[in-house]
Amino acid sequence: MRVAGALREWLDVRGRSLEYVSFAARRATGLFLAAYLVVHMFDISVLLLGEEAYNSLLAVFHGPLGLAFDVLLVVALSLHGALGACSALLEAGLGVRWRRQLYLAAWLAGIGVAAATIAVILYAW
Amino acid sequence: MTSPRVVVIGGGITGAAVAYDLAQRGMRVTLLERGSIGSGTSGRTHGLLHSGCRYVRDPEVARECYLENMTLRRIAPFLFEKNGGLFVAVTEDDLGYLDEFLEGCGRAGIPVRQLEPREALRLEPELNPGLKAAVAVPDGTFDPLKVIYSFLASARRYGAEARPYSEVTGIVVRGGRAVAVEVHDKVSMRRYTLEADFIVNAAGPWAGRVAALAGVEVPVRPSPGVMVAFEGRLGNMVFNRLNPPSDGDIIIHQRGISVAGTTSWLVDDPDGVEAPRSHVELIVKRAAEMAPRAAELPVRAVYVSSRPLLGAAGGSGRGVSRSFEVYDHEAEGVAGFATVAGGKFTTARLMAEKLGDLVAEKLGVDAPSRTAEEPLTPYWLYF
Amino acid sequence: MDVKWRLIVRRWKEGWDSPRYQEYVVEADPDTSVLDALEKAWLGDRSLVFEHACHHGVCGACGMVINGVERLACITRLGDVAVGGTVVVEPLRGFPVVSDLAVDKSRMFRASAAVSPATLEPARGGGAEGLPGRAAVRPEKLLDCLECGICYSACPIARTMEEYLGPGALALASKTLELTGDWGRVAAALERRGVWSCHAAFECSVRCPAGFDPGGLIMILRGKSLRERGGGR
Repeated sequence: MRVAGALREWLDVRGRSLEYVSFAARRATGLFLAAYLVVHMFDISVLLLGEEAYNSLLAVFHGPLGLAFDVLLVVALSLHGALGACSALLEAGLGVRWRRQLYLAAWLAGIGVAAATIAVILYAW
Repeated sequence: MTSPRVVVIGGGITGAAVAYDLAQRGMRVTLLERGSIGSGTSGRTHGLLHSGCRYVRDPEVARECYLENMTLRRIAPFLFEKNGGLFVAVTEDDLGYLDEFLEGCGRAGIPVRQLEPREALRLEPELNPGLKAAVAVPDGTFDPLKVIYSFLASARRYGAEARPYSEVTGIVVRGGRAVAVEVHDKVSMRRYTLEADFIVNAAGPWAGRVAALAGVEVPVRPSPGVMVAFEGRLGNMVFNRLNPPSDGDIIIHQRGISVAGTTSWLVDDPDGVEAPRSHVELIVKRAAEMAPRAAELPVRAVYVSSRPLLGAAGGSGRGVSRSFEVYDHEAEGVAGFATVAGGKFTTARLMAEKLGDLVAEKLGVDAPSRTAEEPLTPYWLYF
Repeated sequence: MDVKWRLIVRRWKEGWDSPRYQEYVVEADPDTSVLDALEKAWLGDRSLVFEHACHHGVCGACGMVINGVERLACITRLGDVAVGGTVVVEPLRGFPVVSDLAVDKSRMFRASAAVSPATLEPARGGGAEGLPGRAAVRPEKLLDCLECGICYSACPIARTMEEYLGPGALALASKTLELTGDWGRVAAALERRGVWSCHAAFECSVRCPAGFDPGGLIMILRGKSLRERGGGR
């Protein structure tokens, strides 16, 4: 499919710059988040199948698989948010001269927020 | 009656200008270049739009240059950085040439103006603060490939076709007339024959080699010279050393860089010539005499370009006449074949006009050249 | 001091099913440009097709992918890019391959044509009333963009969206608007195939050999369009 081919090109980060990797990260995390939303809407509609079914689903969410996905989700959200905010500024023509610094700051912020949130999750878990 | 078919061999500025001139007169032109467009000598020029003042010892050559300079500015102002140039005297010896220089410019009818050193330094602060005299001249600079493509774009508008990666490996001569070229297409690796009513040799320093394919000789000697490009633009006006033509006597600026040159020697084969280190050192040294900071700038590139010089003999090659010539090979028993050789980038349009006059006469095409009047088509329209 | 280098060049001729990689061994000192090394290889194999003209990084003809990164071959030194004495040379991405290392850049030039670009801008330096050969009192210079196509090769959108005008043409449009204030001239840049299809990967700006910052110029044009034309033209 044309879309698959385009995606493969977009996500090929071999030899690419920080800015390009940021673009690829935004797209990859964006796709992951979109897919996650769709899957999540389907899985919570298990509620329609009754209390017992819903409870067994919640058990999965509370288990190691659920934890793994939570971590992925946090990373994706943090990076997508931070890189997205940075990109939104640049794409409106603001801060263009400090592009490199803005991206570095965005990565630091994204990784920082993700790390902090994961620490809280693990502590709570 | 269908218009005559002409094959032009050589895809540099000369070939491109010839293609334009002939196509504009109504001929069907196919240009064949063995490499990519501009991959020969003219693509490598440092990009000087000559005022002609460098050649004031030959007022005819100088004036011809100046007039073509004005023509190019008129037909394609968008292609040139029209900032003029300065001839600067750095030493007492240089000063000794000043009067002869000014007189020569006068005889050639080239408008120049002498400036106080202080004024020159105000305009161009990178110049040697100890400069002793400065004369402003109507130089300009350009990006060679874009100019070549603009001529080809203009030619294309009149139906001409350019085929790069097409090497002419033979010229078919039948009954004392050149009737076809044998071509090796490097894209498909196929060989084919292309018939023509007339064949033009515009192959620059390779003109001798091409002429030999038809069994004739042209006195073109490849004369390489070294150029050194720096990272950093040293000024806007071209810096020329005020002395008779010599090595390392020019620094030209284009976009964000400056190029210094050049030297001169003779070779037999213009392919595979390397830049002698001593030439590079000389050029940098001479450049720094005009603009001291040249010695501190990082070197962007060092390269060699072979001028097609007319006349032969040994020696350094400098001082050989730099005017051009059109050879009608009918006189040597091969009709339908002509060579246009020598000259420089600035006069290519004129070279093409003179060659075009010959071809038109031979083919009975009653159309004068109008390339000096019509605005040049922008290069992006070639594609 | 001459050293032996392995040049691994991607070859393709009309009629071949797929490209092949051919190795050439070239002797040169580390300061030799990749272009000069290719010419040495070509002296021994005249079927090698590659594009070049000025040999000093101003014409844009010799853009290639060298060890995976877009560069101008004439100002890229063997010593700076070789890995274990090996340099892989491939044609630019995003353009149809004509043969070997030569690509067809028509798409880029047609995109330029669509925005009727300016070619000259004011240069820094002293004015010059009455000097012979000065077109204007203020000096001028050609725009830094060489139209080499490296930005198209670097751009993920140019490589996957055929109608996208591309970083080079859009950057020229941005500059042209800045120089002329003529929105009508650059209208094509504000259509969907123009600045709005840029995904801000900025690889174009990182790889541009002339420091033209096409990505930045695209964003500046976007900003102007938002502020002055409500996002239109």
